[in-house]
Amino acid sequence: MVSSIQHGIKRFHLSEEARRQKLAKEEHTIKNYRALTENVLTLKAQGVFNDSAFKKTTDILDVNPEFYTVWNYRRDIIVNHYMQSLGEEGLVDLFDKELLYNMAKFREFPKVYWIWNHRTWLLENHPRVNWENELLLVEKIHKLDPRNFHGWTYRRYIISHMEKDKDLTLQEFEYTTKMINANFSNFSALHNRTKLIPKLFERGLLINTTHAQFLTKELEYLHNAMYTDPDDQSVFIYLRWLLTSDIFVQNIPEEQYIEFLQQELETVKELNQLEKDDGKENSWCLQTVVTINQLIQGQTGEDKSEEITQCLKLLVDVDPLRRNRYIDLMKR
Amino acid sequence: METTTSFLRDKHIAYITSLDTKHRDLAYYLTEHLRMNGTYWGLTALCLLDSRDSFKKEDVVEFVLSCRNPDGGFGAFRGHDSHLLSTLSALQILLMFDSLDSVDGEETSRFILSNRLPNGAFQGDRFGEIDTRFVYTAVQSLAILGRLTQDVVDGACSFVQSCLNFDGGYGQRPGAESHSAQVFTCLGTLALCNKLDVVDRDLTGWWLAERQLEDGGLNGRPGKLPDVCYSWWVLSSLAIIDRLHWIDYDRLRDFILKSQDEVTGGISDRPDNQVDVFHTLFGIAGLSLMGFEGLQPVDPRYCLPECVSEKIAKWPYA
Ligand SMILES: [Zn+2]
Repeated sequence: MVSSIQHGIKRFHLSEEARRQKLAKEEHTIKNYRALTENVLTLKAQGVFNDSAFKKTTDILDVNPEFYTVWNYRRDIIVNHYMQSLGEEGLVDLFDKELLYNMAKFREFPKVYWIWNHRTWLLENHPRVNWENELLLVEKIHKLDPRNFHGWTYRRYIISHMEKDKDLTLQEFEYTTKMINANFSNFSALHNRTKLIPKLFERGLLINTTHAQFLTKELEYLHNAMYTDPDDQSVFIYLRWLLTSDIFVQNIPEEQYIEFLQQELETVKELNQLEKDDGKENSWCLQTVVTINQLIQGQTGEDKSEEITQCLKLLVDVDPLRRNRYIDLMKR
Repeated sequence: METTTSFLRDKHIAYITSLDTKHRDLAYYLTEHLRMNGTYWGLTALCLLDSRDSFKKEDVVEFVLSCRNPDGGFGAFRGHDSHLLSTLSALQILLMFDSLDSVDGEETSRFILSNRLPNGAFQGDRFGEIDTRFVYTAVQSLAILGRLTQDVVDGACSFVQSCLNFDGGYGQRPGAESHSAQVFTCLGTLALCNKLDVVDRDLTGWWLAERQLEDGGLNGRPGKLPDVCYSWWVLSSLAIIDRLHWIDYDRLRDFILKSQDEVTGGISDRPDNQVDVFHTLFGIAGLSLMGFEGLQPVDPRYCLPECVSEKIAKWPYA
């Protein structure tokens, strides 16, 4: 069974001749790879932990970085051989080299979980981790792929370690701003913001800024993006968070919060009017009008059902992929 | 309107069974670390195509048992280390072939529970990778063995809920961005633990429905490309919370059918890409959930044919 998972590989079919050539070419590699695999798994089964076995794991992982059993064996060799025989300096050197090796694998295969897994393990066991370096590495990864979720998970992991010394919430908040300024559709950064903003308040990191002032600024920031690309769902999903998150709802006086909702309703309606003038109602604007009306209704008890139903009816036509959802919501 | 390609049932069966004859291809050896999962993907697809016997039961069961390790878990291949992912696949395969009695449930559950963490989550193996995928994997494995306990159920559900985001989606671990595959593993866990009452179905259903793109395909996160495997992660999630009809079936069906390889059979991640057994299963399972092509019905909670999942004792045990 060829059990691979292929993502983003253009389809091709080999001719009989090309397939024959491919098989002939692979024959030798298969022979070597199988022999090496058998050798390494035998050493592993025998509990052999030494330098030569370690090098053999490198040879296999160079061909197949997803061979998790070999990564496991490699870690067992580090623990049972090197950590027994090397002094602290020797170990620092070994772990640093191992981090470089791991990085090289990552560059080639940025989506392989086992590679990340190994890196985390290395840091947990490294005698002297340079966390700043790890942070720089994430920045590099995000330059190549700002949405790479291994990168974001890894970043949160590094920060949680670095925060043992000092609070980095503000720095992290600024990092998301930088990422969002580069591309507003970066939902990964917007998501991280939803985790960081409550911490900014809880930890008292915002001096002389009230919840209402902060929300005002954040909404202005968002309006820019909404007007630039009204079809970008990231922005509207984030807007929903801003308008429903406890950190604002519970810390802004009720009347002022309702004012925010009313104002936002007007802004979104205006944007939809612009879109309509251009030819088409905007499904995200309409959805947001529904959401905000529901929120106002919940706060004030004012009956908003007419405008809600009207938007849902429009949505059935504007966004036919999800028409059944709108029909269901109309029945509520 | 563009005409839709028809569903290539026989070609898919031929494609899946051909995968075991590629002994001269390097890829055959380079994918040994996925062999147990691959066998589960292939066998499940065949079951949904009502062609289970295209795989030889004795050979498959023998292979599965050969991957059992002294720690009670299963590796992906002979000599490979035990992992929760391959352990679940092994149990699913044995269940599909009515051969569960060939393993010692006590030993296997001991392996699974040895990977349980104090916060109720599970690591994939002794090296500590934490992911809601492993919680689901552990919970389904224990469910198949009929060995769920109140303690495991409570811990798993509370960890899963700690991965819930404001948008109704779930992440890989607390703090992580919502991702369709994780939504499936979290809702699946809650479903198996009979704990779906904690889900805000309209909110989660909203996030899931927004995964459908103009070309009919589904994506994993906002702003990402569509991919046939999300036909499973998103659809099964919607089905679990009774919102399956919140996306457009016909358009998704088109997208899946366009991703078939008319020459070799099999389904790829998106049209004109290389096929593999993983996307072949999830394309077929998606079509089955939507009730197309006369496929055997699939259970969204387990990704097993209904006639198989029906054999699993449901929590809470009587
Ligand atoms: Zn995929």
